[in-house]
Order: sequence, then C-alpha cells, then structure tokens
Amino acid sequence: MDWFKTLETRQVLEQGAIATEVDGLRIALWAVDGEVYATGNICTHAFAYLTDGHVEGGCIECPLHQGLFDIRSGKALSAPVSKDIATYAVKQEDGFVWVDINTPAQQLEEVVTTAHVIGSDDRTLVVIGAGQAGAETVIAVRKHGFGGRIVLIGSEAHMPYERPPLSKELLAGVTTIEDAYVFQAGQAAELQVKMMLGVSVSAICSNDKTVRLSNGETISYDILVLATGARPRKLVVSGSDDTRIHYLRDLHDAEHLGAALKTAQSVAVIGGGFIGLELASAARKLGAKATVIEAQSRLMTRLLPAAPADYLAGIAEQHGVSIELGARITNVSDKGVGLGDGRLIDADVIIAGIGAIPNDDLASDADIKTHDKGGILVDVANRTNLAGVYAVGDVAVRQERPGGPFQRMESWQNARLSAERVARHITRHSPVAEDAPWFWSDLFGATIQIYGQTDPDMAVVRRDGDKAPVFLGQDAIGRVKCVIDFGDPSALRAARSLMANGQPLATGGSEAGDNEEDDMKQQSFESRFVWPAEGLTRVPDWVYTNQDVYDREVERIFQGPTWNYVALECEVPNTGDFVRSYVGPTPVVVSRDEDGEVHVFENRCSHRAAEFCRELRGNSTEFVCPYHEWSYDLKGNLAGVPFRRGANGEGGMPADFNAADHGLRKLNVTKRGGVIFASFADNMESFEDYMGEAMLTDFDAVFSGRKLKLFGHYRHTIMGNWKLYPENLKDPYHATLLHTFLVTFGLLVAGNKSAMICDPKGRHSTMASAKSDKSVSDENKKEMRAYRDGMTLSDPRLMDYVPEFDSPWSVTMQVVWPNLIVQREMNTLGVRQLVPNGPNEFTMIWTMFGYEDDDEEMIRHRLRQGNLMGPAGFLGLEDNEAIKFVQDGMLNSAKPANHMVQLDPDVPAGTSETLISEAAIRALYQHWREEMGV
Amino acid sequence: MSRETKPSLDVGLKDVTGALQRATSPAVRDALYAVEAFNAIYCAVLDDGDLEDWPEFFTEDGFYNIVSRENYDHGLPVGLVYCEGKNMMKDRAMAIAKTSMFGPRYLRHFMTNTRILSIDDTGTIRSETNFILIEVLAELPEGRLHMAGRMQDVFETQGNGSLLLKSRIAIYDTLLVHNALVLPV
Repeated sequence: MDWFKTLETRQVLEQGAIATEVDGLRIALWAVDGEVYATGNICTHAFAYLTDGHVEGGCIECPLHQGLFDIRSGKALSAPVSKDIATYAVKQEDGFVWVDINTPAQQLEEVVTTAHVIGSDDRTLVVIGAGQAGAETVIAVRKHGFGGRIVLIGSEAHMPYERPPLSKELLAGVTTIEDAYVFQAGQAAELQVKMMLGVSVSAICSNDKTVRLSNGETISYDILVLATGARPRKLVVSGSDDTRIHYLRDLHDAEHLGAALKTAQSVAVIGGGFIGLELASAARKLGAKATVIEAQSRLMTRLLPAAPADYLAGIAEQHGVSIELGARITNVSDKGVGLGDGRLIDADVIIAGIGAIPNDDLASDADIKTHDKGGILVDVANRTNLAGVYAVGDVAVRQERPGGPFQRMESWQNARLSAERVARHITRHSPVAEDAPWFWSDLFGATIQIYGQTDPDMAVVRRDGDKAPVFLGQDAIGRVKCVIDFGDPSALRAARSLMANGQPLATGGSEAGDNEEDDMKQQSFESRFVWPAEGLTRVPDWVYTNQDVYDREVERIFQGPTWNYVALECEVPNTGDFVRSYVGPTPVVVSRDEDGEVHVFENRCSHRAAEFCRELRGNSTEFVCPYHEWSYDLKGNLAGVPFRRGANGEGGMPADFNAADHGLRKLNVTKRGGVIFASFADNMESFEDYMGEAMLTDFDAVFSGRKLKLFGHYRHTIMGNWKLYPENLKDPYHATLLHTFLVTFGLLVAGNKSAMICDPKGRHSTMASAKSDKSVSDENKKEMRAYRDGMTLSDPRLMDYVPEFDSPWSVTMQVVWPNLIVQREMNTLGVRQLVPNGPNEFTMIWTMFGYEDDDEEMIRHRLRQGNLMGPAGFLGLEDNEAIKFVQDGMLNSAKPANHMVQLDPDVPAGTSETLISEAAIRALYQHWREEMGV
Repeated sequence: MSRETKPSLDVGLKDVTGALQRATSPAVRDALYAVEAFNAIYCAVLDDGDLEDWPEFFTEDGFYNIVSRENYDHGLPVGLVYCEGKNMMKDRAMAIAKTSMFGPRYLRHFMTNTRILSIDDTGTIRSETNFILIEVLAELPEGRLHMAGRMQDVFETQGNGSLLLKSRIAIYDTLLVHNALVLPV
C-alpha cells in the first residue's frame, strides 16, 4: 500500500480526465459514470498523454494513433495498442482522490460499451427555412452523427419540398406535392427533428443566440443554419399594380398558375431565362399561344454563351413560341403586354420570370455580412462571419477563397451540396471533393443539362451527336470547362471525361487533320499541372518534384512581387562592407555605399556573366570582375572598362557605348529593424503592407530597434523541396510528435498557450507558443522532470527563458514568404535564409544573433540555447531528416500521388487555434496556386 | 571555460624551425603518443560505442564547440554545438540517444596529423589534430565525406596520469553541412 493524495474529487468529476503526477509517475484520473479511476497516462504504443485523447463509453482513445483502452480495466482494446495500461487503486477521502501506485484497480468482469447518437450532444441546431436546402441540412447532419436537438422552422405549412417540379410535372398536374417532399414518410420523426411549420422568424439575436418567431416564441440555438431562400423579383411597369401577373416560387404560385394555364388562350412570358422557357414550353403543351419577351438581345445572357442560347431559341421557335428580343415593356394590362415599338402582345395570362432576390434581411439585421447584390456571404465551408452561423441554398453567396469570385447559385444541386458541406463542418468531417455545378431543365419534350462552370463570354465548340448537339465551353487556354447538352446523355458522359483530363480541346472545331498538329505542340503549363479535385486538402507531388514547376516558382515567386531576405544590417555596418547572398537561387551582392545606403545587385558581370564576387564577405572600395577587370562602384554602377577607347587608336568599345546603361542588375531594397530585403519586382508594395499588421507585430518583437550583434552563421543542404521548410513551420501537428525532446522536457506541454497565425493571404505565418510561467517556477521545473528512468537535464539552463520581448509568446517561428524564417526560440535568435537549388534540394543559411546590449552571460545563454536549433540541434536535425524522408518518398514511390493535409476541417485555410491543424499549409497553397496560376 | 572569440595563430606556424626542433623532445613525443592514444579511444566510442560515454572524455568544466571555419576566422562565436561543462554534454548525449529521430547511418571518425603545441608544468597539453568524418547512409552506401577540419584541444593530465579534455574546439572547413550532423565529432 502506497497511497498518495492527488486532486480534488470534485475537479476530477467535473473535468472527466486530468493528468497528474505521483512520485514521478504520470497518472491519469478519470471520471466514468460518476466513478473515479486512475491509470497510467502514457500510451503503451507511442509517447502520448492519454488525457489529451477522447473519452467515450468508458474508453479512452489515444490522441496519437487512436488506440483504445478501457479505463476501468486498462485493457488495450484496438490496434495499434496491444499492451494494457497500468491501473491503480483509488479511494476518496476528505474530498480528494487518493491513488495507490503499488496496487492495481479491482477488475470488473466485463465492460459493455454502447453509443447512442441522438442525445449524445447537448447543442441545439436551428435551421431557418424549410425548403430543400434546410431539410437536406437536417438529413445530412444526422447522417454524419450530429447528436443534438434539431429545430426546423418554415413559413410554409407544407413539409419541405423540392422546387424544380413546380415549373414541370407538378405544374402540369402530372404529380402531386407529396412526390416532391424532401423527407421520406416518417423520416422527420425518425431523425427526431422538431418541425415548426407555418411560422416565420422575425429576428435573430446573435448576442444571446436566440431566434424570435412570429408567434412570439423564442428559441435558443448553438448552431444556426440560414436557408431562407429567395423571392421572385417583381415587375414594376405601368399597369403592374392592377394587372394579375403570375410568378412562380412556391406551391401556392404553381397551383394558381397551373389552373390559369389550363384555360389560357395566349400566354406572355416576361424574361428569357430557364423558368420563362419552361413556362412557355408548358403553355404550348397545353395548346396556348406563347410569347417570350426578353429585354436583352438574346436569351439567357447571364448564364449561357451565345451559341447554345441561340440554339435553344431555335428549338423554342420550332415549337411555336414567339420570341421578342431587345424588347422594352411599356405597360401591362388584362389585354396583354405593351412594347416600346407600340405593339401589344396579346395575353390572358402574364407570367414574369425576371430573377430572384435573396431573403437576406433577417441576416443583415443580425449583423451577418451580406453581398452588395444581395445574399449572405459565406466562405468555402458555407460559414457566415458569425461563429456557428451558416447559410445554405439560394440565399448563400459563396466565396471559395479570400479574393476569389462570389457565387450565388439557385439550383437543386447547390441546395444539396451546400447542405452537405455545412453538415460535414458541424460534425467535424473533412470536406470532400464536390461535383461540378449541374443544372437541368425540361423543355419542349427534351432535357437540357448544363454541367460545369458556365460563363456567357466563354468560347464554345459545338459537337453534333447522334440525337442532339453538345456545346463545350472552354477557358482561355482551351480546356473544357462546361458541357451543355440537349438530350444526349452519352455525349454528356463523353464530355465530362474531356473535362476531367484537363487537356485543351483541339481547336478549330471538329475537323480532322488539325488534331495531329495540335498534339505535336507543347502542352501548356496549366493543362499539365491540374490541382486535385479535392481542393486544398490535397497537395500533388509535382508541386515538390517537377523542374518546370520549380522554374515557374523562380520566375513568379522569387523574381516576382515578393520581398526576399538578403542580409542583416549588422553584417554590413561600414562603408564598403559587402556580403554574398541570394534571392531565390540567384546570387546577389549586398553592399553599403559611401552614403550609408544599402544596395543589392546581381552577382553577374554585365560583360561576360562572370559571378565576380567570390568572397563570402569583406570590405572593398569597388568590385572588379577578375576576368577582364570591369569595375563597379558600391552602388553597382559600371565604373571602368579597361581599354574602352582601344589601344593606339585601334579596337575598343564603339563610340556610343554608354557605361551608365551597363551597370549590374539592381534590385529594389527595403529595410526594417535592421533586416534587409530585396525584390526583383518594381512597384513593390511597402514591406509593412507586404507583411500586414499581425505579422509585423511578431517581426517587430525580434527586430524592435535594439541593435543586433552578429554571432555567426551555419549553412547546410536539405535534400528536399524548399517549400517543405516553410510548411514545417506551418505544421504545428508535427511539433509534439516528431520532437520528443520538446515534450520530454516540458517545452511544449499540454496546457501551454499556442497558436498558428497566418496573414490574410496565407503566405506568411507565425507558429507561437508561450511557456505557462514567466519565471522558472517550481512547477516548471517539475514539468521538466520527465519519466522515472532518469530523463532529466543535468544542466537545465538550456530551458531557461529570460523575458525580453514585447510579446505574449516565448517562442515564435515566423515564415516571411518566400525565403525567410525568423527564429525566436526563447532566447536563441536567428534568421534562416532559404536558397533553392532546383526542385529536390535547397541550402539554408542561418545567421544567429543577439543584441549589442547583451552582457557576457546573456551571450552565453543564447549560445547554450542554440543547441536546440540548426543542423546539429536537438529539434533542427529532426526537421532536416523528416524533410529528406518526405522528398525520398515522393521521388521513390511507384507512382506520383497527393499529400493529404486535411486536419482541422473547421478552418478551411488560415489561422487556427488548435495545434492539431494543417489549415496554415492549406492557406500557403491557396496563395501559391494564385501566384503560380494552377 | 569558453572559447576566445579572437582567433590566435599558433606559434608553431610562425616558427617552423623551432617547431621541428621541439617535436624531437622526449616530453613532446610522450605527449604525442598520449594524445593519439586518447583520440583513438575517443573515435572508437563515437563510431562504435555508447554515445552516453562521450562526456567521459571531458573534465567537469570541459568545453566543447563545433564551429565553422567561416565563423572562427571572423571571431564569431556561434557553433553547431556549444557545450559549457560536462553536464551539457551529458544532456546532449542523452537527447540524441534517447529522443532524437534520424535515419540510420554509420559514422567513422579519423584524427591525424597531431601536433603538440605546448606542455606546461601542470601537465596541460595544447595540441591540434586534423579530423575527417565519413558518413554512410542507407541511401548512400558508398559513403561520403561529411566533415573535415581541425581540433584545437587542451588536455589536462589527471592524478592517475590519464588525459581528459579541458577544451575541444572542432573547426570545420567543410562549410556546407549535408542535411544534419547527428553525433559529435
């Protein structure tokens, strides 16, 4: 018997899982069904604290590899764990849990685990809008395991239904509303959804997370989904107030219109979009005369390119529909529609299909961001700007990436996809690859299908199939981006495979003969390198291994609009001081001139290209190329050309040779806090704008104006792609897994504050953490004392942190895109410059420094702490090895594949609050793809 | 103990005749033998032995530093490894042996061209020795030169007559380190 007093019972019962330490043993205390248990806290498979894992049904799932242990018996239940964890006897006395470390817990016979989905979550999901998107959201969240309460609120009295039949079978009376219901019979009850139909929402109060209903009731939510849809745009013209004009949005509209059409002699349809044509088609089928009136010069101007739109107009006309294009409507009356040219289009039924207005008032009243043209703004995962609030279906205006286009889609497919997306996000499933937009319409006895992204201005190729033509819309370089098919599904399938392979279509139509020559042409970059359909959660191998991709990186990134680190000012303090450096792979010289200005120029003689500056650093009054002794001043201007005028009046340069035109290639230079950056691009934004406010704060913490003191350099190669290094510092997931040292010695322990911060564009980032205590307290020392087997530091000064920065963080690792890492690992400071040598290798140059005001002891402290980093550092060497392993894996694998970066689906790309995230890597590739055009 | 940040050209290189003469003295020959024997055991432990024995070559206040020639020549203090005292060496040996992840490899150290620079009355020997480190990796079975340079050493003679390092500074000429340096040199 060896009883130790641990924590308060109350605390264990409240938290359910707590780590503690007893006599140097790491112990986990658990509360299961009101009982307290104690087990070993370190997984028997790999080093991880079980208390960081997930408890369910009396079992603990290890956070690392999801091995399962029974808390009561310590039994290892599932792969990869095979060894049981130790259990310890516990007793409760004076409000504390006591643990006997020498006695195992009494074993129970058998533990039964069951999991019920519904009721396992105490959150409430409220969905406003009981249309297709709202109902699909409910079905999808349950499918993905949401166990909370669900309330679905709809203003119509009907169960949720799909709208496409309203202008098709249902309008014609072929089917009934029950056929269009989203829920199957009994499904709503089975899913335990509280249906509130015939009720509308009058306000959303985001402060107390409630919605107020028209009947005075208030409902609380934890998660809110807005599926408020859209309403028809009303025609406002002379006579429109007094004339019956039909619109089609809901069942009520469809019933009235259906009845009216049955007796109609002539129908005027205002608006030449799909709904207008569908209604004209329905009217013709019932024998009425039909006229489509369109203000634009052709049909479908907002949706379709001219060729398929004109083809569609032709079909309509073949079926007896009159089409009035470029028509201005002056008035409506019970006689019909008056046009600008004085004609009257006879009509006893007038229908307007002139667009829809998103129902976003509820949202904008609750300070949810909306688009200028209407609709609720959402991100790639359909999240609004308010946490826990989503929008789906017709009302959502989605922007897949910051800076990308805004898209609002009114389609059956979008209702479904957006619901699925939101459901996956709510239940923390990663996003999946989505099918391209798809839309169908039944017109004049045939089905038209549109698959892919349409653009009215896109180039179109027509291919005539056996039955009906197919139109292929292309992007600027000829790849097929959409298919418009008029009733031949086999042609649609063939076209979809054309879209999938990403190859440009042979141009010049379908004539044979041209194709062969086209195939001979070099394929374009864009068609060779197509990003995986899954999006940012996948990164293909060619990003890291392909020479052409690398060449484009040099051109577009290193020589493009970026600020590249070249040196510290303390390396060139005096006139004539210079260092050799690099911008991307390109050698440059950094020099300080007589006026104290810093210049950066290419290390390439303008005469015969010689890399003239060979010393790593030095001091000089000029630069002389050793080959023909051309000389340059400290600013990079050409100063002297030997025998420029020839010898004895013969030879020499032409008389019009102007030295001023032949200086070294100069780069733009900027400085901040003693750090020098250069850019090949002109018109670069300021460094401050380049970094953004958040990133500057972390940068300035290191470069605060305190004068830097140079400690020296080291250089090493890594056999890996250069981007794997910035990625390593955007990958907080690896920190506790690869770097056992960090965990063992308490540098990164559970409970430490940490963050992975990105700039809005996703290119720069800071991985930050804070030691839990500012001074090295007893508690901290205890954290450093690791297992019983003697893993303690003999010289704990290595881990001392001397606070000296204006920052809440004790460690920041900052990526300044594209070639700089700023390291502030407690008190050891350095910058790392990336110099790529092709796709599969890069050199890293480290410049370590302190401050001029450091005393002898502080210098030594920084040097001692330097053992953590660099190619022989406890952490640094592991990163170098891991990166090499990654490149080896890609280069040696049987066939190229994709990397998976889908941790933390809550954050599609950007700043994340959890370390178990790859959102910053996704943010980097969002930016990279834009820069690279892939 | 730490490293002087200003490099000092050793006297032996200024006075070649004197150096040649000193090399023949019996005390220097004894010291040369002792240092070479020491280094042979040192290399054997690093190559084939237990890394956690490595600190045993140093005095309690011993100093160990691996520094590039680039930094050394400019009087800059930063090195790949910087250990003040045997305790820091023990921590490094433990960290590398118990916590570090790196690919499997064979390392072989060579130390040669030992020169005794001075021997004082207390038995402290200052010497310089060239070193090379050959690295063999699974994916590089033919091996390659990983590091070359010189050791600047201060040995202390112990009560039992054996030597221990008071200071060892490894100054490497091979400025570009291949990937990572996992073990001490």
